[in-house]
Amino acid sequence: MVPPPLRLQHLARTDSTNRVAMDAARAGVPGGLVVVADVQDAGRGRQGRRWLGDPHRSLLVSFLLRPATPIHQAWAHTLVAGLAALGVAHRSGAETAWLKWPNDVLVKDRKAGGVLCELSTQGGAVSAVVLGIGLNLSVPKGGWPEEIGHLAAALGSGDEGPSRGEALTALCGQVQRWERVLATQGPAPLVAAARDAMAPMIGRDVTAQVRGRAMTARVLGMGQNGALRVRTEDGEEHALLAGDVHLGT
Amino acid sequence: MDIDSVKALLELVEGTDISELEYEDEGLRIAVRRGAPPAAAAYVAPMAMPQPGAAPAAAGAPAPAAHGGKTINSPFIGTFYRSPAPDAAPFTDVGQRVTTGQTLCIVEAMKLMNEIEAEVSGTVRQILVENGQVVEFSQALFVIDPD
Repeated sequence: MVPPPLRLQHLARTDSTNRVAMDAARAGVPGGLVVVADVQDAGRGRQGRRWLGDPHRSLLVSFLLRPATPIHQAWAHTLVAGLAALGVAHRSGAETAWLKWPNDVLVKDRKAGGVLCELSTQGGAVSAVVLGIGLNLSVPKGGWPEEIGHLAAALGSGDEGPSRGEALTALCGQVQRWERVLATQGPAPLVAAARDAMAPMIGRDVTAQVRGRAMTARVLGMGQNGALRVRTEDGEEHALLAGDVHLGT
Repeated sequence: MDIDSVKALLELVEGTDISELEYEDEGLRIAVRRGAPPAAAAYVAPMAMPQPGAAPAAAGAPAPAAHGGKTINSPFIGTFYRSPAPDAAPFTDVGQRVTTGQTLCIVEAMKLMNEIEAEVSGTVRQILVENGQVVEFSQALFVIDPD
């Protein structure tokens, strides 16, 4: 089982590459479609948050895949996207980039990339997965907007960064590589790679949603099912599968 | 796209894992293939059944008897959301009509957002979980009275 060949669809402008890819999925388009946009007006993050992209200095791309992943392992596609984005960062000169659970690409403690995956199921089986990936390749002309200046980073230092073509081809190769690993070996190798990639957050205190409440917790590691293992101040251990995790307290 | 761009595209694909790339831009379509063609029938159709024994051991609360209603269950452990964003209107509500394929909610696990669709057309009788609640594998989320 190897992933299908990729077909690139380039859009000058769109509301959201994930939306285009999900629409294609609903219309029965085969897996392997790669939607890349210069400008995204309504890039989506978790729970409706926006992902902003500078047309020439960020890469905004969504992969439509139709893998044979059993539904209880579908979460591992998030690791595919995160590890693929991190692989591009490492090849682009951001050697110190790491993964904040489950899939933000950080340079030092600032966000240089993010992932949002969407799943379409039919009769309890996976019919399509869309991996949406955004990467800041270089610092926007005139610097970051003030409200995100202390949170954002780029793969390249200063004005320099990989070209969009270089980053896109590297990303295509990385996604195919990790999809092949998942299809042939299951989630375990991805969990192992993600554990290494997350090392900078192990032992750190984070603020996380535990049973619906924001709590301070110390990161212990990652479980075999991809969950973030944390210990709260009362000494109890929890496995988190969803929600936001913020570095610091 | 001019010939330099085609050359640039070919150069970009060199030295990567990409075996085949098709580029489409304003009606122009270019396919780049390298080396041996990929194995045929590379991706099989989605499996009809999850692997037995590999499903989470702790299944959720069994679906309550729906008395003729159709229950919609969660496909995996995750967080249940009734709306696409915190300040957005819920996808649906008790007493509202829904049609097959309409999105009822989102279950999120590991930033993988799964839009759960109605499997039948009908009226929402019950919503069994709260927004933001963690739901278990196969836990009942909605009861729908089919038309």
